[in-house]
Amino acid sequence: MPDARENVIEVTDLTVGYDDYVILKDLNFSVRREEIFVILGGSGCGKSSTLKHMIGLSKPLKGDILLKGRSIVSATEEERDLLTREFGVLYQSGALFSSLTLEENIALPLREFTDYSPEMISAVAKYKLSLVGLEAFADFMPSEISGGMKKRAGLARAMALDPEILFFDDPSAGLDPISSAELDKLILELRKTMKTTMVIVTHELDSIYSVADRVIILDKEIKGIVEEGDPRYLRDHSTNKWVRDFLNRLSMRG
Amino acid sequence: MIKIEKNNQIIKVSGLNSGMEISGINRVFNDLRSSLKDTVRVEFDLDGMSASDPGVAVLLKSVVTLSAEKNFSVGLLNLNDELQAVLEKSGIGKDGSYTDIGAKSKGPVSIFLTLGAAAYKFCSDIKSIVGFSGSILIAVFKMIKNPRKIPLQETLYYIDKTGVDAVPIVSLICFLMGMILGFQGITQMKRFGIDIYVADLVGLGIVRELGPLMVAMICTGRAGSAFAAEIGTWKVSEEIDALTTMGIKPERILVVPKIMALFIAMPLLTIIGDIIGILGGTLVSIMASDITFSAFYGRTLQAIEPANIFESLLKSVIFAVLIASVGCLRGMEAQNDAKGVGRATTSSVVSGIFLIVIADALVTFIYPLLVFYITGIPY
Repeated sequence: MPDARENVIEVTDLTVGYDDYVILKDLNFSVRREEIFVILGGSGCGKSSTLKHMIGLSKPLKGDILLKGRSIVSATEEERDLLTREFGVLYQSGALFSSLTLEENIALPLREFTDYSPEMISAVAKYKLSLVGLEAFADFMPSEISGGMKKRAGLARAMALDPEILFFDDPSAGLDPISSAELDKLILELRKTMKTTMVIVTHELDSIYSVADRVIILDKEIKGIVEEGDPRYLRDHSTNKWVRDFLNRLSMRG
Repeated sequence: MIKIEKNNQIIKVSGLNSGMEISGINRVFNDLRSSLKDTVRVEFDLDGMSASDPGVAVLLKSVVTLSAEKNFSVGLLNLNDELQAVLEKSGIGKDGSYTDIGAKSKGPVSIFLTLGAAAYKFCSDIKSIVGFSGSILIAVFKMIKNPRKIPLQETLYYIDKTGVDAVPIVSLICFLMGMILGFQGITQMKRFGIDIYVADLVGLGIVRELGPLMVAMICTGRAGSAFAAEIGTWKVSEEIDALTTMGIKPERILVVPKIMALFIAMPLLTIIGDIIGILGGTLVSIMASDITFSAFYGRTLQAIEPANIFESLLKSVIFAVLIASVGCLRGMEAQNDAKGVGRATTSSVVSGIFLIVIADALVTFIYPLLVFYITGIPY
């Protein structure tokens, strides 16, 4: 399905691994503006490592990653600090700063990178919390709220600086199906209102069918991308039997 | 990683990881079968396998069955008792269908290898400490350029936690140290009739050495370990990653306030410890001998010079930087699990004490030279 929208993220010849150990070889893919792009694969296939490379937390063995045309791989430390403000990340556990209240958590990046007055920062933080339905919990500590709420608060913090790209590391991990579905609904709503590009790493098939525009499926056997496209289409029409089985939940190559 | 190597008609299989699933077993088995040509023997290294890995038993059973058909022998390396019992239950082993090669001989560990590994670890430790100090210095300089970014609130919080809260324990320990020192001194000196000089012993001993040292030990146990645990927990819960991808240097937010706090709190604690230590020595001395309080007081004031007090403070700030840096560094290095945090905490205390003693020795020997060089008066 050709698409006229520009590419926000471009990954070329990315080789993921540690030291001599190659997990994924020569990945090539791109993410278009306002797209919900899912990286899918069984456990241990390197999907989280791929994400770590895309957000600049680890250096790839080879290849390049362009975020809005700027490389995060060859960026100097200052350039990377600037580049990180273009995107937000929701971590597996939410990664809220445990010594700060929810509002302070969201206020931290605002205090660091804007010249807003304290009142303004507080207002923005409260507004972001209201976007994820947590305005009543602004003064709670992260340890006082549930896992699903932590993820939503983490999402609010990821959006604090109105990033153009949001990365999600396994958003449904540790959530019950209902909280997980709520998070999916939230993701769709936010895309509609904020026009954000989203990259989601997951192995949760339910949420893929409800949110994903496009998916790449990674496999550790071939150390690369087995299939790319609309998950609903691939489920029934992929030429690769394993992909069809996988998407129909018949097999999960561990 | 499962490795299948073929060498001189012998196939060696190693790296069978625990909890192998059926697909994995199939793969190993198929790979094995396809490389069987001209093979007389297949050896499995079962290092680290336990009886709770049913997959291995299935695999071995299939291979043993195959061995009768294709005419090769099977050898098992590092087979443990539990797994052997499981194998017997599945009907292999009793009839000599495989040979137990026993444990791989590890051989005597060479002293050179051990020394080399230790030296390597020491050097990489030094490297990480230097790198870490560098990044902290950069963070501090950037903060001086932009004072708005100084995390004043956090610093005050840590001064409260590491300084104010430590006053009772510091007082108690230093008071007892002063008493011990005074008592040990007076029992000896009384015999020579020089008991008044206990004031010198207690005063100088506490101010120059025991005061800063005891405060440092307490702070290593209270603050250094707490820093390591706190930062280690941040690391495990991805909070450090979150800061990094926000473009915020974790050093600035997490490390600098702690170092600044100890830098301010420890000299103050040391002053308190010095005074209370001397009080303890005074108390025991006037009780155990005929010295009056005023005589002891006067002698103490005579004995302690400004340079001694400065030495006390100098030691305490050096210790403060060491304790806070090592605590934070160990926290940053923590492996990503709960055990990692525990190890980081332990290691912060051990290396903290080690560094304190080394630094203490250096300052104790160099400081008199320095004083003499600057003032021309022998210290």
